[in-house]
Formats: sequence, structure tokens, C-alpha cells
Amino acid sequence: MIGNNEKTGHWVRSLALAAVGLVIGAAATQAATITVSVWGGGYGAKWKKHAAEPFEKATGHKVIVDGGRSAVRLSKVKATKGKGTDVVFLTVHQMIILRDEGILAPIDPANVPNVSQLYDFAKDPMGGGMCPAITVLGVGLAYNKDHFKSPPTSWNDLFRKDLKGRPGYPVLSQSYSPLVMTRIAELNGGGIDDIGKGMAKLATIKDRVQLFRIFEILKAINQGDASIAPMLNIFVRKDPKVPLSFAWPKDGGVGVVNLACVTKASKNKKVAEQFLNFYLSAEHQARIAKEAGDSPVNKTVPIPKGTVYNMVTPDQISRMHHYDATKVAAKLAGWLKRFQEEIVAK
Amino acid sequence: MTAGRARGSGGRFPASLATPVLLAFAVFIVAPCIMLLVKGLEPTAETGEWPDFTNVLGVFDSKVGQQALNRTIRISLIVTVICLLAGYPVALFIARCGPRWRGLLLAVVIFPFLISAVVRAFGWTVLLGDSGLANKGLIALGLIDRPITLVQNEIGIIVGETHLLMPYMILSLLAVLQRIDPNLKHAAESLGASPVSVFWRIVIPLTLPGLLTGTLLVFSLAMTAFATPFLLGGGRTPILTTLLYDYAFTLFDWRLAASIGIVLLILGILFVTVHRFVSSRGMRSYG
Repeated sequence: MIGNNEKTGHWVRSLALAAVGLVIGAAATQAATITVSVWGGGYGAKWKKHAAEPFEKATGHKVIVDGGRSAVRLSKVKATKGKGTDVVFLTVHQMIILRDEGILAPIDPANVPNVSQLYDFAKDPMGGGMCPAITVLGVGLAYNKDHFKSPPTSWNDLFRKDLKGRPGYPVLSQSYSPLVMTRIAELNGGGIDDIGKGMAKLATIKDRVQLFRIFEILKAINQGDASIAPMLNIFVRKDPKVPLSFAWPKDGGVGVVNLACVTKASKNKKVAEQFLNFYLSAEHQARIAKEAGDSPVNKTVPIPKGTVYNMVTPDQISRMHHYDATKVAAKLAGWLKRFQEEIVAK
Repeated sequence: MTAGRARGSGGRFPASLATPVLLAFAVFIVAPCIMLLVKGLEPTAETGEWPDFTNVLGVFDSKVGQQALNRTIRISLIVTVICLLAGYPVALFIARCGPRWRGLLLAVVIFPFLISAVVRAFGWTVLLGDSGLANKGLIALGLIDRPITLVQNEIGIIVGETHLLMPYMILSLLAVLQRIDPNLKHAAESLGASPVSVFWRIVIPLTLPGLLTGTLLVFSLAMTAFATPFLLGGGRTPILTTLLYDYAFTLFDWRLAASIGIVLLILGILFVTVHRFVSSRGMRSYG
């Protein structure tokens, strides 16, 4: 009887050890799933193909793409306090809102070593070791090439009296509008602490400027109704068949960065940071630059040749004007009120 | 006994059928409205108490807020009047057509519903632009000698919203016009009434319910329209809905955005109250 008990005990112990081994083995090979909140539409489709899928193939982890408009995604992450989202992609002025709500987690530099290969302005745009930029954009001048003998070279071209069509200016609720306003203020004796000089300059063309919200100005330029407007480089492609063209001001464009941050609520922080590191690698930065026109922030990555996108080149980066996003965010409510009262209201 | 039992079971059955819908209504419509009210009246200062009307009253304090409010009401009224004046003859014509033509014309009337408001608005920006068909036509007719601004202003919003909302007016009027007994008109004519008299004293009063319904629909939809004024009004002609969007999705100040929502809610309630008063007086007069 004792012998039978010993045998049974031996079998039970063996089965238990085997079961534990199976569980450990399964856990070790189990892929993690991260949810990434990123822009949708046509860009989102390209992003899925050239960012999410290569990462999945290389690591075995799964990426769920939560695509959509920035404002909607920001509202969602804000409302859920980041639950259900591991990595969020937003422009810096929107990411600051999440930072200030305590939704973001600083990255562990040991897990994202590719940050060391970035331009200085891209390593930690919000400060506090939060998150890196993943692409740089620039505001330049969209213009109708049939209205100009030679491409415009300055922000002051917006205020020329001899324009064939209207000048355009983005409403201050557009992401890059406050930054352009700051640049115009600087050119007129003011700056980030004296935006009034920029508002006053814009007010001089108040009666004829087309205040646009999104892309309607690009159509107006193509139709010949508008001549020139500040515009992000990524929204104007090189196309000799249409009048719409793009030029950088001689003294440099205005820089805007898009960031990718990990949320505090992420249950897969290590994999999320692994994804960030992958995103900043030279190989991926070169791929996404070629396929989606995202100008690289990795210094080692050259601009792709023959691209239809107006890229931010290293030369442009050296002349670009960057403004403290935290300072701009703190002043935005007051600036928006002034813009509404001084420029919009009749 | 059988009839009483039948009556009792008939009362419980419709109520139980309506419960899921009422629950959904309560959760998805009533609850968010209450949350909106609570958010919009949140105190602005840390020491403040609920309800705090600072933000709601603030809409009326700023120049842009006042202009947005006036513009919202003005545009809604203009669009309603245009839809009424232009829609009535169209509805009258369709009502008098034979069945074959009526079906075709109805399809033309409801055709705008098949296209998204955004696509329509973009179409209007092309037609109404400085180099668009509208300006080219006016110049060709000699009415103007250089393009006038027809978009990115109130004119663009009015044209876009009229296009969007005209079918509501036409369909509301058509529903009552088709129910008018033609013998009433024959009787009036046989007693010596002129066609104009028949129209004003027989047709108009009988179409009052449809007219009032159409007015209610068009005005309330015009007041709360977003996509059309967003794209056709541009940045120079904010109305309450586009201002709400700016506060919600630029500053992410949901309290300020909710305050504008409350103003819209008050405007809506005021309009419905006035509408009901006018409706009951009008229906009694023509009784």
C-alpha cells in the first residue's frame, strides 16, 4: 500500500512539474499586444503597412492600430486616462495636454537607445525625459506659382499689396498657427512674450486675408483665388501639373515635431518602448520617410531621393525656428481670445 | 370580463415593448444632456460652487461670442424664410403633378440626402469661389465686373444650409398638400373665389401644420448645423457650433464648450416654446 502511494505521489509530482514547465514555456514564447493611437485615413493605412507590420514581423508582438483624427484620439486618451492605449502619437502641442494630465510615463533611456541618434531638438521636446519626437515637420509657404515670378522667400510676402489673389492664414486653433504668429511677431519687434506685434501685423490684412481651418486654402490656391498661405510641408506635394507649390522662407521655416509617448496605464511598457526604439531606428526612419513623407529625426538617415514630398532637409533643420511648446501651450488660451477679438470679430 | 382582461393585457404589452427604447433614450440622450449641463455650470474658481454661470454668461461678454450668437440666429432665420418661400411653390407644383412626374421630382428633391454634407460643402466652395461658376456667370451676365466673395462668409453658409435643408421644408409641405380635398377648392371657385383667394383662404390655412413642422425642422437644424458652416464660413464667420468646436478641440476646455452647448439648448427651448405658441394660436384661428 505504501508502495502504491509512493508511485501515485511520484506521478502527481511529475505531472505537476510538467504542467509548470508548460506554463513557463508558454509565457516565455507568448507575444505581447500593444495598442498604438496614431493618425488615420490614408496616412494610417501606410503607417500600418510600413510601421506596424514590420515591427510585428521582426518581434512577433502584435500591434493594434487605433487610428483617427488627433483631436478625437486626444479626447479619448484624456477621457480614459490612457487605459487601453500603450503608445500615443500626437503633435507636441497636443501631447503637452496629456503630459499635464499625468497620463504619460517617462521612457527608460536604456530601452530606447536610438534616442542618442536623434537631433538635439527631437530627443526630449517636452522635457522631463518624457518622449522623443518621431518626425519633424516645417511650416513654409504654400503659393500659386502662376502668381509669382519667382518663389516667395519671406513671411513678409503674406502682407504684399500686389498679390493677385488673397493671402491666407490658419485660424489660431490650427496646430501650427500660434507658432507662425510667434515668428511674425519676432519679425516685427515682438516674440513669444509679445504676441501683440504679430496680431497687429496680421490685422493689417484682416479685410482680405482668408482665415482657413484645414485644407480649403490649398484648393483656393490651386483655383487662383488665393496666392499664398503658411502651410505644413507634408500637405503640399511636388506636382508640376498644378499651380500649388511650396517654398521655405530664406531665413528658415517654423519647426513642429510629432511625438510618440508611452502611457502610464500601459500594461506592456517594455514592449511599448521596444516599439519606440524600433520607430527611431535608421532603417525604419528611412522607410517611413520614403513611403509616407515623414521627415526623419534620426541624424544618420538621408532624405530619400526623388520623393514627391517636400521634406525637411538637414539644411532646413539647421535654419528652422523652434519654439518652447510648453510656453506656447500656457499662453494659447489668451492668444486664442485675442485672435478672436482682434482678427476674427468684425 | 373578457373585454376587461383584454384591455389590461393591451396596456402592459406596449409599455414593455417601449421600455428598451426608453432606456436607450435615457442612457444615450438624456444622461449626456445632464452631463453637459453639469459640466457647463462647473465653477471656474476653485472656491466656486455649482452652478456657476460665469462661462455661460461669458459667451455674451466677448465680441466674438456675441457675434457668433447673433450670426447663428440670423442665418437660421434667413435660411428658414428662404426655404419657406422657395420650397412652397416647389411643393405645390409636385402636389399637382401626376404620379409619374411626382415620383421623379421627389427623387430630385431628396437627392441631396444621398450625398454627405461635407462633400456638398466642398462642392459649393468650388462653385462659389472667386473663379467659380457663380462669379463667372454673374460677370458674363454683366451684373458684376469683378468677382465678389460668395464663400468663406455668411453668404456661403446660407447657400449651403439652404441646399441642405430645403428638402425638409418641401417634404413637410408636400405631406399636407397631398391631403387637401380638391372639392374644397372647386366649391370655393364655384362660389366666386379667385385663384389667389382660394390659395390664401383655403390652401394656406390647410397647409399650416406642414408649414409649421417644416419651419421647426429647418430652423432647429440650421441652428445646430456644423459641417456646412465649418467649411463654407471659414475662420471669419464663427457661429456657435464652430466656436464650440474650437473650445473642445483646440483648448480641450470641455467646460467652455459645454457652456456653448447650454446656450444652444436654451435657444432651442426658446424657439420651440415660441413655435408652440404660434402654432396653437394659428391652428385656433383657422380652426
